[in-house]
Amino acid sequence: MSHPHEHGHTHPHSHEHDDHAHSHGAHEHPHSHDHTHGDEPLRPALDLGVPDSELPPAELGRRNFLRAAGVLGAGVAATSFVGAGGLATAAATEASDAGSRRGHRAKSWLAGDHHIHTQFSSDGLYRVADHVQHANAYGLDWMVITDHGSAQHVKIGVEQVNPEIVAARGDFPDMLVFQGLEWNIPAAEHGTVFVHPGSGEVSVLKAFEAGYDGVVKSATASNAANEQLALQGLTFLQSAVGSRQVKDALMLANHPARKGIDSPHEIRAWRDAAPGIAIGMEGAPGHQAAGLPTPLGPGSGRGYYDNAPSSDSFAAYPPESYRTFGGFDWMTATVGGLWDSLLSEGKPWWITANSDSHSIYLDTAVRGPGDDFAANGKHADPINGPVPVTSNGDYWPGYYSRTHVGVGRRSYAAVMEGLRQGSVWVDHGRLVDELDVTVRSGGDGASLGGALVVRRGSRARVSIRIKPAHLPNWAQFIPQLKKVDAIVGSVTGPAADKDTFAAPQTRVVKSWDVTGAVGRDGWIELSLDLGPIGDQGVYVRLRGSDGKRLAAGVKGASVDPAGPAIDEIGKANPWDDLWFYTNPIWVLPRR
Amino acid sequence: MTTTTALATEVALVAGVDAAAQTLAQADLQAGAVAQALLASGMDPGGLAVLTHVVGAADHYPHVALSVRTERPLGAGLLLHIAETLAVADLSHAEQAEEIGLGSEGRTLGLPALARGALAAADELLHGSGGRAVCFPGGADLPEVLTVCELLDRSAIDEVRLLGGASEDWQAGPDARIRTRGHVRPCVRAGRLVLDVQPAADALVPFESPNPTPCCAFH
Repeated sequence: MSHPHEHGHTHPHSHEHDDHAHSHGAHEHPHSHDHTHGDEPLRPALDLGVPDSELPPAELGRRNFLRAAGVLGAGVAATSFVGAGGLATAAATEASDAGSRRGHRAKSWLAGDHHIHTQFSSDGLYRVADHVQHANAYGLDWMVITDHGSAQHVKIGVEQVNPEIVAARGDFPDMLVFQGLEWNIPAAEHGTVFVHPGSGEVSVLKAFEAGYDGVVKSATASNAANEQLALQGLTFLQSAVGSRQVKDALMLANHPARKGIDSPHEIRAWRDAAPGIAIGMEGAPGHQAAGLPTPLGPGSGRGYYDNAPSSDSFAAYPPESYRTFGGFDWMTATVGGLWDSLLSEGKPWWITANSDSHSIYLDTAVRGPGDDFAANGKHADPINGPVPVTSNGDYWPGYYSRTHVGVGRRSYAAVMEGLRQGSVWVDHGRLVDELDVTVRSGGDGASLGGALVVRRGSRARVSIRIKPAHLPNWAQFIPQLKKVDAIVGSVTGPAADKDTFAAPQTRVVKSWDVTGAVGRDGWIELSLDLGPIGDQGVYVRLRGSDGKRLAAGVKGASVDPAGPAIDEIGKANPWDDLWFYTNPIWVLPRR
Repeated sequence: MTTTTALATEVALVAGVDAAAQTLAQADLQAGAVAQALLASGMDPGGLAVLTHVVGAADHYPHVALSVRTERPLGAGLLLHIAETLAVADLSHAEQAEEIGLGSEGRTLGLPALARGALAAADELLHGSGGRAVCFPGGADLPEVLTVCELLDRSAIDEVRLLGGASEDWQAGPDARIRTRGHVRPCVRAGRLVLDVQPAADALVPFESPNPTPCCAFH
């Protein structure tokens, strides 16, 4: 590997045999920065004028050793940092001050995917056009191209992918194709960052990546300084929108629980540093074929969730958090878990479901001849290989995972605004065609992502209309929606402990067996009385499944009697375990 | 006869070693080298355990340190031998043995933050509050497939815990089969050595995979 930095964050131990390792003299005492003087040059590991990103691996290893030893630099963030946006306004306050945030009653739902890799990713394979035409065929309306931030991408890929995206917009006029990138969030996991198309889309993404990507800046380690860099990156996006360099920008955290390195306080800090920019996370990761059994499948964890805690992980996350449940990330799948603890604060934080498409299960394509990613910043175009590749763990965009965004009209701006408003629900395997959820009180109402403010003591009722699949999905069967769950929690206000990931007052309050409940018009109609709204507001979110794999929830049967079961390693057929999730609606008492 | 009670409640000698491993994989290599060095010096394999601990978060550079449990005292000579073993390029970024943190019974050696890391690792094992065992009694020659009962019988593991809880298809009862995949890393919780397992294709497998998917791997 001639470009070690690109992968340096994942397996730094693989670069140990660098022959510079000890070329600077083993006599050099680690305290020598105190008494290096005169003309004697500092060895690179000790010269903090040389950024981490420019050190050879062995020198970086040595520098990190000395940091851990407490004899080089201060680990503590040198600068105090205040997000330009200040603290996010709690939804409750916002809603009370400005009247209800109704969440727009969606005129139509546009299905999309914000997490897709091309040949401009070191681990990618396909052209932009390969993804766009498959996504188009599989019924998506919008998609985001998100190649990994890297030394090559910031130099080459971020620019070269743009003409291909522009061409795809012309070739597929029904598809909204956004340019984004997969940000290596400093000190944390990956995240989608994307912008509204326009003259600034490349320059803003490039400047963002150059300044704030964890791999480009060698800032992946979980420490306070890197956490600050992440917040500065989000503030940069905020000012890029504020100064109209781009019309809009959004960030969503990807596969958040996969490695336990997105701590609760980091997620809260992103949300609060850049409200309206950092808007949510993947409720379900991609790579949904990764759990199919060997020898005809990858045999891994569903979503490639097969990791265990590392020194960068948040120590309080339990082992279960590193696995998926019914294909969904533990933060979302746990009723009363991390997502609910965020929603209980009364602040927006939305979930999505995406493909993370790199290489497709059973596709025959392989990399073409003359491939040299390190030099070209791009893999050679794929060619047809000899056999279907059984170790690929992904599906094409739209084939299995969908993020549905409510819009008033079909436009790039409307998709971004719909995502920001949380007018979003997600499904797997085309389980649900359409849904309409409204909370009503008196004559007023709010839809997904909205907050309804009512007089204390007013009763509120949730009306739920669901249109289950009426056509076969891409595995050629018509999925059957079996059950729907309503999950309700109290709004307890901003968390005192930023690392809390429990919402003890949230539980499944009602489950419906909807077998045979479809009316003549194709819709299932349900309703739920939320009772009189007290001093604390409440929120409600929905979930449903084909009922094929159910288990008591992570917090026990009294909280979630029949939730998603933990996915089995090398034995997870994603088509036999389908779920949909909606984003919440809040009902808040007027002050 | 090796004991099958919890490691931490043993009357045994515990030392900490901090060579600032940046990853668990690197710490596992260090742990293996430490165990090998101790066995080569005549230490009884029955009483030997080497565990990994995440330390240093308070100093803002979290990394992985080791704790070592032995049945006879580790003198200063043997502790320094451990440090010398680790101060080689393949195992750590220490350039001299004196840099590596060592801690035992409140006394420390090495660079200050690493000495603190070593003590913290030793304390976790002493108090039974944490640690992930790389080498532990009975852990070295486990077969590829065995029952829960056999695992508890043959090794210092006190308990097998099923992630996601029991279901119709999966229980972790005495007769349940475990496929070790050659990688068994039980953790110390409340003084007990606990192996988390999860359902997999044809048997239970330990929670920790021998070769987890790195991010940005070409799948």
